[in-house]
Amino acid sequence: MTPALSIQHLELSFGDLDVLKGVSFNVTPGEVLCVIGPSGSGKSTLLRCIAFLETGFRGTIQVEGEALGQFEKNGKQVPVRGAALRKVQGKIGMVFQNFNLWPHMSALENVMAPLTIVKGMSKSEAKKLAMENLHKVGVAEKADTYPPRLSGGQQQRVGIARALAMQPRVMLFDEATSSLDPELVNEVLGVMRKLAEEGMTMIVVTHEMDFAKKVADRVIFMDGGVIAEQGPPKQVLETPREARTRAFLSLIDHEIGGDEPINP
Amino acid sequence: MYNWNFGIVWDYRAVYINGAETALSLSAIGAVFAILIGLIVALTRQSAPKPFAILASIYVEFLRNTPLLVQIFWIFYCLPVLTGASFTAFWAAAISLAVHFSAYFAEIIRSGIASIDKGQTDAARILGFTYAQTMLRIILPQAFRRVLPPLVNMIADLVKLSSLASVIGVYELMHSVNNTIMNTFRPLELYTALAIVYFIIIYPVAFIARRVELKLAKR
Repeated sequence: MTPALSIQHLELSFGDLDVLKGVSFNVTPGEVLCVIGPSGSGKSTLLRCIAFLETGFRGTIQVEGEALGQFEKNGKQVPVRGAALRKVQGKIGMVFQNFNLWPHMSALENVMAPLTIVKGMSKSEAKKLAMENLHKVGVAEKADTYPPRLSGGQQQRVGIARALAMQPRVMLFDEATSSLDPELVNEVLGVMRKLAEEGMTMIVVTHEMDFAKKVADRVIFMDGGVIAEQGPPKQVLETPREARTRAFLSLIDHEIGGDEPINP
Repeated sequence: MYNWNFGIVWDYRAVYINGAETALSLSAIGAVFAILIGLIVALTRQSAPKPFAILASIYVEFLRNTPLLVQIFWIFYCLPVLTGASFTAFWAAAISLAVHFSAYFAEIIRSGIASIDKGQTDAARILGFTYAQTMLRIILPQAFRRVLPPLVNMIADLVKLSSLASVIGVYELMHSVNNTIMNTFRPLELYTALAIVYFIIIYPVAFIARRVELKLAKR
């Protein structure tokens, strides 16, 4: 079976700083992969490479067997640009930490714009599909509201609807709940969980260990630009083999107070 | 005691009306082309390959650091000699205004584009927008809203400086009124009226812009 996503020897540096130092992994169709790790470990950069928002990487990324942005021929990187790039890129949906909704368009227009502009759908067709997706994430009643008037949770759900409407094969979530107020986190995680249960292939960069534990099929722990450890969530999160995984998890645990009561 | 006679302004009202018409069409042509050229120069500085971006910077700096008056004379007297193309004083003035102000508009538009969060472009790109679609549908509409106040100020400046077209004999407001004064020896009334006519033309531009700005902010 062709993997939904195949990443081989991915390397990226910003100037002297090596951010990714040879990352390789496959994602099977329908798999939910959670990527955890300390800040600066390269996990967000990894997602941005898969979305081809970072372009100067070495190595190959294939989406359903098709090369994204470049392929290797006789040891040389051959660039793929223009429509051929957008075709492969179009299989990827991305949800951002800061939502990145377009503030000059209503929620509905945000979802419709890519459908009409990129896919060339008619207005009525696009509106129908957009409303279906807004309904799916539970913000249909906010269709005519502009993003600045929506709560963070609502904005992020519109962001998810916008990505879903384009019918991506793989969805990337870049710390999708990190900038939300605590009481709004669950409404977004709930939508993500529903997507996972429907069989969407997902790569989720997150600090929500509980989500990773319950929803992920596999957890990757990144540190210093490499995959330090990976495996089923139970194994990586509860009985990690690597010392740095344990150190990271204990820090996170400490952050939220662990099992100890906050005021003993 | 000076004997005011504002009746003379009414007698020569046709001079003001024709002058205003010429000044307005001069300014309108100048502004439209200045914004179009400014947009192209801004995008060139922002995203074109380095040599083009540098050329665009030189264009902007050169035009901003030479007087409009010199540019008007140069375009009217030198450009025809160099290119063999000949144009009327009106078109020489219109081209001068367009070229001179395009440098300022380029800077305003560029700062507007730069002020838009990079995430806006990221979202468009991952959803499959081309560069042109991203600019036209996502970035420029937002950038335009942000730079509306300085843009309008600049248009008001352009209308004011269209009076410089008088130096090459374009019958816009300034030149027409100057001529009338030579025949009537009534500078006080006619210049006072001239100032008021300019105000009547320019003030509504700023007024309407403020209304549009408020309306956009309300959404």
